[in-house]
Amino acid sequence: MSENIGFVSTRFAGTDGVSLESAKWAKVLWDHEFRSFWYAGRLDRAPEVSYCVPEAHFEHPENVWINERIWGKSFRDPIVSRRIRDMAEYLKTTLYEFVNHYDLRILIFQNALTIPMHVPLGVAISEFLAETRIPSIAHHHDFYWERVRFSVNGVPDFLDMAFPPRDDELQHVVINQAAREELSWRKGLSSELIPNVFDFETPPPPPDAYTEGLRADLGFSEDDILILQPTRIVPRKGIEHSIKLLETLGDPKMKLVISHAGGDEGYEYQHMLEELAHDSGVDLRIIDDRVGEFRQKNSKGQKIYTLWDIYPFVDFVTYPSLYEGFGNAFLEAVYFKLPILINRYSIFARDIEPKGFRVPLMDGYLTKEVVDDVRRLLADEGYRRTTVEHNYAVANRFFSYSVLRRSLRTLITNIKGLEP
Amino acid sequence: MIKNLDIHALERMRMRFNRLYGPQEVERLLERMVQLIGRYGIGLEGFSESDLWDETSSVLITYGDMVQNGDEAPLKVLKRFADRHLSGAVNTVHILPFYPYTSDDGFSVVDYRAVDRNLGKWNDVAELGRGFRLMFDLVLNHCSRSSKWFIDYVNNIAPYRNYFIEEDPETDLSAVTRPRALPLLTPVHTQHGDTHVWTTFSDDQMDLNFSNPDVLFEFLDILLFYVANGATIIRLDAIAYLWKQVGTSCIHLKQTHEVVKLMRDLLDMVAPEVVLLTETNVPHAENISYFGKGDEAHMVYQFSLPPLLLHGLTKGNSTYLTNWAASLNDLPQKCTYFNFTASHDGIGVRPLQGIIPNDELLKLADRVKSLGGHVSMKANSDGTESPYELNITYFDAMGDDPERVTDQHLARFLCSQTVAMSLRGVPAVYFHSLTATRNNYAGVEETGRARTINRLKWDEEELEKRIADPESPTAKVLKEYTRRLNCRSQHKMFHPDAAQQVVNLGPEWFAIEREWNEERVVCISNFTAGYQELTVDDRLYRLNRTDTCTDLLTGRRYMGDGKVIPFEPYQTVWLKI
Repeated sequence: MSENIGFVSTRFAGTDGVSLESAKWAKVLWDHEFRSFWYAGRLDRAPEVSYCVPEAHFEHPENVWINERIWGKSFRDPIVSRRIRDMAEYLKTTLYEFVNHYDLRILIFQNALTIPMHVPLGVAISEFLAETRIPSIAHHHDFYWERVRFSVNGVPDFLDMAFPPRDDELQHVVINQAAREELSWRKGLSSELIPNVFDFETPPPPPDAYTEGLRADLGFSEDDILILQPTRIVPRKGIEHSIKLLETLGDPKMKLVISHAGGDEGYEYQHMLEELAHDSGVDLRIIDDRVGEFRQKNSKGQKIYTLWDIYPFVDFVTYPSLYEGFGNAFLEAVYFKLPILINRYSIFARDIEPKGFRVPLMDGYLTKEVVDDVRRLLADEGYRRTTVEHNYAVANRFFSYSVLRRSLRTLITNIKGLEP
Repeated sequence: MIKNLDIHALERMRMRFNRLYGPQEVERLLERMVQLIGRYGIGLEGFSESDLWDETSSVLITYGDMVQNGDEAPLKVLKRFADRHLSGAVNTVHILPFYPYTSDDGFSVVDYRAVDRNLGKWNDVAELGRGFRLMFDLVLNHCSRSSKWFIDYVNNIAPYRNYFIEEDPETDLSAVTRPRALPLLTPVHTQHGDTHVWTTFSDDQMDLNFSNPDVLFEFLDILLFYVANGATIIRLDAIAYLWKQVGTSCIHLKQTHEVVKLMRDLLDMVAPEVVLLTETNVPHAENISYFGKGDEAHMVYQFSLPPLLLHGLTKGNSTYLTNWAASLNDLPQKCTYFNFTASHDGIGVRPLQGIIPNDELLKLADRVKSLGGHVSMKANSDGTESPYELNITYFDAMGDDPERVTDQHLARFLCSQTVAMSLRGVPAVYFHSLTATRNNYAGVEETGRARTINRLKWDEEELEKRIADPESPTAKVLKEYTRRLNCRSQHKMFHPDAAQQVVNLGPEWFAIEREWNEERVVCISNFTAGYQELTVDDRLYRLNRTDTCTDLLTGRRYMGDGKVIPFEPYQTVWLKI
């Protein structure tokens, strides 16, 4: 029977992991005849299913004001407590309106009860659950205890209460095994593990007319070898390893292409990388000004490409991250049947590697074997094809929509019981 | 949360929300308003008991980078200049829009909550605020095409996808009042298809949709953010065009007034020491409609004053100025005028409509051209053109010869400024009036825009050199100007609320009497280029007594009935009785 489900977060827009995974959940639920409605402070979903509350966005001035006063401080001013409660009270009324307006029967909280980017929203949801007992699911992508910046704070009481809350009607979903254990230790809560997924049952669409001449348009020649680092430029991405890899490979036709911008955590890291690339003789190209969430033209009339437009023109992907909550870029590379270099970050080692992927795998530093493997994947077409096809098959088995479909069915059955 | 939420003010807001957005939205919006109140800690520490203004109030109008010194943040240089030369004379600095922008010299704002990094940082603004009160612009009719808001609109992301006004180009918009000759609608390619959006001022300035309450709340938040950052006067830029409704003129709509009233209600509740100033360069009666019944703007620009003064002093005939000044009605409580003679814009002549005949206006325009200025024209509905703005520095507009500055020129210019500071209201001086700046022809050539003639950016060293040279017009004007402002600030009779009576002494004179409690001052200016003697008679009955009166500007004393007061060309006396 068709029922309405509400997704709640501070933001559903763009290509961040939470927005993307939520859309996948909605798609799979739609196949089960559940209609999805969206509550957030920033939304790119269709207007008729959107409920936008600007105050719910983590960048809303009110929340920014609160964040400036609670993080990195071990106490808080009474006015801050008051503002948190007032904002939570207001947001709670909007949650009631959201549920009533769309006649929602189940709510899915996407990271809003996990990472405390918006403390009042977490408090509002927790109270809302306590008052309504509405069946719901909390999908946790990254907990506050996984981030150093939240370790010193003036809101331990709110974190205990709301991130996440202990509520009988609330089922928890985590994306990796470590998070599952931590949640159990810290909160005494059991959870389902649903990894991030991709629609491996439907291969990526072939390039179309829009991307014709993409290489030349982005300043590359036909025989250039494009090594893509599909991440933002922040230190935990370990991009210095990618530079080192290209330096060791020593092929001037290879270009290290970074698709996203720096600056999120300052520009020092980016400047260091640029210097390092220069000193190592590596051709580093940051193309963030030509990559966007949508196809469009910039103010100079140049085409903006999506990351998906670029993948088909790439020869190899580097992903030497020190830490990832899951690692969607890995699944994306596998989806586009591209070989990928991985630094063995903990979640990969525990949750992904055991599934049997074949990737050049470094353990904090590049070895000759790893470099040789990369060189072979670039040069030996047969080896390359066998490797990427194998990885695709493994991913299809463990990280496809079918996996998600099965897991969501279990969760919904927990809520609704077995269909007669 | 502010503890003293005024229930009456909230009730007024409830009515205003009802009028603007209908009964269904009222409760939600009122809740949002309560959330907003007290944000940034405003209103928590109690309010100062001081009045909104007094005789010491005067405003410097300036760009943040009006004085420059190499790589130093221009806001720091401005502070140094203001501390050095204006302390005591000016108490408020209006920094024209200092936010990141893309065009229109600051009025196409990209980010309302940031300081343009070419000017400095919020700390520099705060530093300036330690010596002076601050006035900020709230540019609320439109934002830049390059703003995140508009980019999100193009990408169909809420809430911004509803921040702008889409319109079918077939719609009849002929009734819309236009301040520009550019197309009203601009085609835009968006994620949800090709659209046309409303752009009243230029295709880089995208009109914001205030019929969406999210937009209103965005600006209410920015308003409080500015207050939290030290603004004590908020200038509502181009406010008259705020609300759009197809089939109407889209200017001065009742909803626009309602929004101003709502802002006033909010400030009255949480920051009653902050003044709202509306900028509406329109005929006088429309302009002062923004006082409402004392429930809208605290201050409005006196837009008729600059061209009337210019006309009167260059013609040697004050008739129109006197008649106009005499016609000014009493103001509601807590309301006053913002008396300026020049600003970053040109001298608007639309506010002369109905005050001086058209042929006089055309002669004035010809004179401005002969002095090296430009005259911007507007197209009329009958196909003709008429001047709407004179582009010239106010200093040069008061001259006779674009090549040289004479004593008469200096005297005439200072007379214009002194009349403005004598009138009821708060005087505001544009930076280039203080420094006797000449027409910036090179700037006009560089930008191709007539308004650049009055937007020179001084090099600090060059400016200080001129100030140090006692023979330079800059030194003479700055010294005398600040002396007069200082003098004014020491006398209660110049309190902006002090009563004002215009006295008609004939076309050669402009005279007003100001009164505060029992103290009076009579301000008389000689509007001619010749020496004159004024025999006091019963038209100035308070002066026409045996009591001694003193000219506050020269210290000269006059005694007896039928006093005879000598006037140099363009001299002003402030006779304290």
